[in-house]
Amino acid sequence: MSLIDVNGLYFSREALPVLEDVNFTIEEKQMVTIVGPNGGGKTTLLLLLLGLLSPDRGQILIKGRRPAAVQRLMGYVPQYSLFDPTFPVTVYDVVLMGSLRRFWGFYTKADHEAVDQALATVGLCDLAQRSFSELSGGQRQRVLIARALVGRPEILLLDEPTANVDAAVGEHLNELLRRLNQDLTILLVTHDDAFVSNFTTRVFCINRGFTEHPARQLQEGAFVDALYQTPVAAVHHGIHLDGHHHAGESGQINLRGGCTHD
Amino acid sequence: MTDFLALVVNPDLPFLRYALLAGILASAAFGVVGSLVVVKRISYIAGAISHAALGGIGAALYLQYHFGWSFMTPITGALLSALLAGGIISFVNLRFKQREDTIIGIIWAVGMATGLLFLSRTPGYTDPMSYLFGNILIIGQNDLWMILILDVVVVAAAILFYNQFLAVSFDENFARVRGMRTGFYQGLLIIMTALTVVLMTTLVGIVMVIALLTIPAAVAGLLTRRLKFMMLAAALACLLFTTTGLAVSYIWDAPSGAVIILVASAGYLLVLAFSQTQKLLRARRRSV
Repeated sequence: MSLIDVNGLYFSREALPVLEDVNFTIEEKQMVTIVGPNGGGKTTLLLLLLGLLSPDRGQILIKGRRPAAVQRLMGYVPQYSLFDPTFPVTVYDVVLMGSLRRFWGFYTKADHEAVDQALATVGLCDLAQRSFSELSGGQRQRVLIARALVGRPEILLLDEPTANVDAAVGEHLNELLRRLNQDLTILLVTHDDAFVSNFTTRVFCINRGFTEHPARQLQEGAFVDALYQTPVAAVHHGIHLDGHHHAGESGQINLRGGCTHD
Repeated sequence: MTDFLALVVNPDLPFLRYALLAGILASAAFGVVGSLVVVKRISYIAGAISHAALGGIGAALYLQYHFGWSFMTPITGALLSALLAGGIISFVNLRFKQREDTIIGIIWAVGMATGLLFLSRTPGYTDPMSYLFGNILIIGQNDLWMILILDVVVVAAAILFYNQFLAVSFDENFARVRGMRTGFYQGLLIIMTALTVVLMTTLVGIVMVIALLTIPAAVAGLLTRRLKFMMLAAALACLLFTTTGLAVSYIWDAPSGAVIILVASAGYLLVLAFSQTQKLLRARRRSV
């Protein structure tokens, strides 16, 4: 049995087809990139996998069960740019939301420890008490990844993690995801092919229909150009993050430990 | 000012004391619910609920006059109709999201219309202006008890569900993936808003109560960066505005509701100017 099994999936919105006959399977610890034009149905597919939308036809099985029944396995990382920039909340508070599970009441000591650990993983211990809205785009994206990690997910689903961040920050996220991919299955929606081409294992193209492309083909740029019907500047960055310091963007990445408090 | 203080403690003139107490008691609920309303950006829902309250006020006065239902005080009527309006809006919000603004507009107007109709059929001293714009003379001792009870209910709910409210307001989809029933919290917040709005209608009236719900929260939002501190600061700001407003309205012999709202707005502008200046100074210091 595959980790994720999508079979004959159809979805439409107000009688307009968004997804038609989508079929694929994903195995554990794969890194899947979902690309496609705007409005092609990428984000819709993500919401269907998260159990936030229900398919019109066909089925999605995750570990053999409906998505809504296994939401606890999923770490959802939405686009940071969709958030209200004036919302009064600190980085720490945002990450703590990842442990939310009770109908009412408060977080436990273990929940707080998990926050420290997740902040250490994404290298943001120093910024824990900062206001979420003060952070840069790349930092906010890492906060949202930490929030997803706190719930100990098996699958990480990210929606446009590199939208509106510059290439250097994108590489930093890239490195983080590559490390996380050692333990987690990752599904990532993007229109930024340059970002993922270095380490992605599979590339799905969603444009109402579904096509899978070998990851290598993406690097050649040919199919991307065909997809967008215009030449796309696919820049390939070598990954050499060690000794590659971006002021304020890089933090100490520490996969096992937690934040150290003075 | 000393005149004002003397009047507050004068045992023969309870109305000013009642008004002050009502303002003080209701401030806690206003700070808490106002902050949630502001961060969730649902002040238009609070507006519809408060205007719908006029329907209940009119009906209560009508029933009192024609049927002698003395237990049906205006504030009870306001409470019932606000809850009804809140219930309808929560239901619509859950089921027919795309029609929400239309239905909110209808509830807003229907509440006002039924209220005026009932008042026109109730002969006597009742002046609709009292309910629209507030009149501290209509606060009785029973109203104070009611305000206290509602206050405790609303604040207790806000504390028990604080983390859930925060998460659902910040990112509804994420909360749903975490298995939270976001519709429940949305509904609960709307009901809490309905209860809160009614608390101060006697003081500032149903037209201006929304300003008192949102202005202190907006002030607090400029000064704090966590929701719980925002709630606390908003409660204190609300307390300050109602108390100062009442004192000024007594000294100038002006309508209390109008003065409270103007004091609050002036407070907001002051704090806004202060925070913008700070931001500018900080930016300049950084660029030097």
